[in-house]
Amino acid sequence: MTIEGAAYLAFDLVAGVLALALAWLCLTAREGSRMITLFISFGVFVSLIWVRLRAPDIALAEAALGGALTGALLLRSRALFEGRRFARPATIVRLVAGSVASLFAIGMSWVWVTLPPTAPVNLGALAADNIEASGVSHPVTAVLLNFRAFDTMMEMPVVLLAAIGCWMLGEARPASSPVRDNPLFQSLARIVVPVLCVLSGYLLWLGSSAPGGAFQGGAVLAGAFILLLMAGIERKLFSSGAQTWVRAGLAAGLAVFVAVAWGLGFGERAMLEYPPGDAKAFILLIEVTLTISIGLTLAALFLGGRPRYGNDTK
Amino acid sequence: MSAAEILASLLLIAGTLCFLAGTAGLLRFPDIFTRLHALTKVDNLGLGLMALGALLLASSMDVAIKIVLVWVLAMVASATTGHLIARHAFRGSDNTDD
Repeated sequence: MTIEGAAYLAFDLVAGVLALALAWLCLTAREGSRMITLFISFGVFVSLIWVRLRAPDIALAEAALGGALTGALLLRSRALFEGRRFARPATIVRLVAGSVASLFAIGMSWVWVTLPPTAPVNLGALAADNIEASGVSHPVTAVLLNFRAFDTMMEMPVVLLAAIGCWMLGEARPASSPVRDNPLFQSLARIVVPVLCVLSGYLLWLGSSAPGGAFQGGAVLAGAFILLLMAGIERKLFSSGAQTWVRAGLAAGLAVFVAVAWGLGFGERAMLEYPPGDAKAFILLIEVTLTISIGLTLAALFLGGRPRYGNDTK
Repeated sequence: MSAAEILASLLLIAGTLCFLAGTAGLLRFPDIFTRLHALTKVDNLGLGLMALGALLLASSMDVAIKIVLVWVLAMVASATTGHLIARHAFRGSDNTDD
């Protein structure tokens, strides 16, 4: 074994053992904030492991979404719900909900088990052979936005429904944030938010030829929104006047995706079968709106409830 | 091994030692202020040395610019959060208005 190989092996072992140790500590931690901190550190190590497995796309997504944003959402939930008690739903409600969920799981498992066996297909080679026709040169983006675009389209309602569900639960309560209206934090936001907006666009554009894309770009954009929310800007961002725009932005990603699928499906093509030569334009159109929608959706989740109307003067 | 590589290695090792010192401080110091002192000062120096070392090995200008950006952004964020955490702790966790 070369020295370089030994060094990589040592690094892998340390990263793997630390990830497992952090997972264990996180699960056995007694206190919420400690658990969340350990979870975020766990995300960092999982992201490093994905880098070593040569899956930079997943590493980027894990670092931005799995570690940083989920951590921010957890911390926010903890701040919002600390010390609050919730009434337990009636037994009959829990029974019905449990039965429906179990039946659905059993049904899906049954479908999966009884599916007729198909001949194994080397999907990786298939994607690599057709990369020229996809409109982009990065295989992950080609799969996500072209070959399996339908799957990605179906992910958008999930994201949108999560935000709608969160906003239906109640009005956003302003969490007591120590940095709210703090001039120092606001000047940090003034430096970092523009940089994050540029970085988001850069990651989005990079997605056509290198690891990156709408989800990573959207996560970075969400980070910018969250900084603004923490600094106390949401009174403007989610004011009555801006409400319509925010809601339109939340729905835009799914709307544009469905419009493209529908529009193309009306002709002689299949749904989401881009016309040859124009694939890149369609992918870019979808990805730009997806980035904005994902960024706004994650910020909407961070808000923890629907913004209040008529709160502009406060 | 070229001169640049040797210098880069020395800078990276020095940076690692700084991180080690910062971690020791975080674990061993008694209260939040001394721990913050260890983290914000030493990590900035550590990251700075690491960035310098990586700069010497950078293959092109745009890689170099990205490394400098990482360093500058980490400094801005670390200096601000260090101050905010210290102020929050100094005034007591109940006092959140101003």
